[in-house]
Amino acid sequence: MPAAQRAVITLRDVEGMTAAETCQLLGLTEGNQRVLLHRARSKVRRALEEYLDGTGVAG
Amino acid sequence: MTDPMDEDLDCRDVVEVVTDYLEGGLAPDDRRRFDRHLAACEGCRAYLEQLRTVIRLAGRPTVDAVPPETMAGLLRAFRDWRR
Repeated sequence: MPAAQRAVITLRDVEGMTAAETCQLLGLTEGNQRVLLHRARSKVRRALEEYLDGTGVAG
Repeated sequence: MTDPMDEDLDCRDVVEVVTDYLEGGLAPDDRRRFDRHLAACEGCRAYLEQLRTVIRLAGRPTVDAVPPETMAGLLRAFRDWRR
């Protein structure tokens, strides 16, 4: 995952920072932050899906 | 997001705007279209729940919070990327 996406999802979803705080800390516009968050979450969802498919747990 | 003359969202639209939806960033009309699609689409309802799970899991407390060195490293990598 690119550093920018990793930084945004870490601050937003792991650390629970607000969008405004994240934008300020990383010097991003709201739009840019939203796109990075979207891509990062999609990647994590996909990784989780592949992991669960591999273990045969998920239906 | 969509032409006001468009009727419904399709599943591709849902995937594209799901983060905007969760952030409360959809215009009221688009949010209604999103909700209407969800009401009729089990696949997209599942997708939305998967994303909510991702967010919830990411935010779960672990034994250690993000260590300061890791946070510093993340920010450093981000700044290096931006250069």
